[in-house]
Amino acid sequence: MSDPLVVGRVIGDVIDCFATSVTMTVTYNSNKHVFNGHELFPSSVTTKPRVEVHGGDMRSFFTLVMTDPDVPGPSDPYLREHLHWMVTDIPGTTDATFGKEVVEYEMPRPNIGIHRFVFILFKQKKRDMVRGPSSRDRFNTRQFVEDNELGLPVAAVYFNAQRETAARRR
Amino acid sequence: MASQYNFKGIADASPAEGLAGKPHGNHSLTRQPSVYSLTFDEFQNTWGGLGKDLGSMNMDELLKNIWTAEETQAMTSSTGAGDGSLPEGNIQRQGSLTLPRTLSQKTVDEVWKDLLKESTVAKDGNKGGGFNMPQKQPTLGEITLEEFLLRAGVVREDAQQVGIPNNSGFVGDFPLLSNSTGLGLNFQHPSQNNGFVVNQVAENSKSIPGQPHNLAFNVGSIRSNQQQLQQQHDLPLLPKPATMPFASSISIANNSQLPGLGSRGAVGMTDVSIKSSLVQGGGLQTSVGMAGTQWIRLHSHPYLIHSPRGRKPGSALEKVVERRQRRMIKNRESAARSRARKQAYTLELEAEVQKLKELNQELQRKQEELMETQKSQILERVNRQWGGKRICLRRTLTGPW
Repeated sequence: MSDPLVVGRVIGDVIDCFATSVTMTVTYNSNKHVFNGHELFPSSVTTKPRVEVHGGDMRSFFTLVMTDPDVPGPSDPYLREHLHWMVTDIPGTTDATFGKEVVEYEMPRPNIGIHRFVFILFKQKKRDMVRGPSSRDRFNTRQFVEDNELGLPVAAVYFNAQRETAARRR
Repeated sequence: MASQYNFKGIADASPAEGLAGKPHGNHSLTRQPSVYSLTFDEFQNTWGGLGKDLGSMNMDELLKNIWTAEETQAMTSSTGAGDGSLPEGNIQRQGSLTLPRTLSQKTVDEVWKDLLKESTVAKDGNKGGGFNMPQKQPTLGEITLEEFLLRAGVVREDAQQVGIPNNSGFVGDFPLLSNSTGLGLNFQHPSQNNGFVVNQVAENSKSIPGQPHNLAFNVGSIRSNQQQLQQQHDLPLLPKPATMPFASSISIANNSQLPGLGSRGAVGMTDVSIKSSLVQGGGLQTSVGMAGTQWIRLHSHPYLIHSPRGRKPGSALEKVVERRQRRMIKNRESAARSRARKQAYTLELEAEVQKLKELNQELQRKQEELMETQKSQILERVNRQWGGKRICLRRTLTGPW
């Protein structure tokens, strides 16, 4: 139980157990690095982050998915999940700006409780084979993976966020 | 007394029955010496770090101590049997029982005195005898907890709650028997008892939810007790809407029913009635195996309150109970999530620290190396410039002479 992804139930609620094979770094505003389980303010994540893929090569392509599994609230997430961003065909060793933004980045707006926002990176079998979903709502990562034959993730990271004005550390 | 004797017999006989009926076979009947069969003296001695003489304790404190003792015993005695239900039960138990306001503020001593008084009176009415039933020791120290609670619960209720509305939150769909003889008859057959009780309840309550519900059941039985007593004393039974305040309706004497002892409600009896009702009710889990041993267990599964039949519109009381339990569950989950968050954060931080330390070391090493190479480079350069003769001092000018 020493993996934050497991302890934070990301592995379980969103994806299945996997072995990290690619290093992915996600950074907001060039100074806010995303670490597992750290909290970020909604005001810090209004624009899309820089997602670097340190692995693979120029001939391998990756898909990035950003979802919120705690909609509308973590105690009763009956709308699980909400898709915030999807970029496909990211070439290895580059970043997300080199991919195809299939679903535009939507800034997180957690209203009830503390939400997890998960970035998951998959390796595509080949270029141009991933179809974006029809809607952001009721997104199911596992189903999406199955539909697009993406297999297990190669990297994942998540951060926590709650309402900007919520009571923290009381 | 005869009735009591019968009762005990029934209690012994019906554990099998009760077991058959209970869907949730968590509790090992082999678990023994229940806290409740200890006398006050034994209780005080054994579970002694109570710090106070039991007699001068409030009823509330007494209950708490009993619960603690039972918990401790349960923890040690049932290892596997408890499974998930036990730890949860222990925690979940807290919100589910409160003494009637009338009882909780009294000290044990006061209650005992009142008991003696009333039982004497009752005895006169029932038996013509002037003193306590032979089985009950006349001293507080020698009475078992079970009996004390039993009598305390009943008698208290009796005196105070003539007009209390019926609790309609009774368990199960029991057949209504028209047998409404005196209390003594209750012991004859467990089912009859049940029927009797149910009958009372059914007659007097406006609505009987079909849903077995632990606490509602308890309350219902109390109500039925009151009715029984009232009948005994020829008081009119007033069916009232089951909107009585929650606090006053739940008491330890929950499952009270068979007043064979002249008192109602209480641990032992409760078990019998519960068992029978459980058999019939079907959906209720956790039957009580033995008299007086596991009535607490009844309240230890709030998670399972919702019977598979689905929630029927019950009394307001039942709703309140449900709401409370739901809230408690939600709170628990929220707390668990919070702990997981904290743990994940810590793990991540530790991993980061480790990474950074390594990186730092790496960088420092590189730095060292660089410095070394730089130094040697400079030295080299200097050497080249001077060709090796730099240390020689040569005279370049000679003074004039």
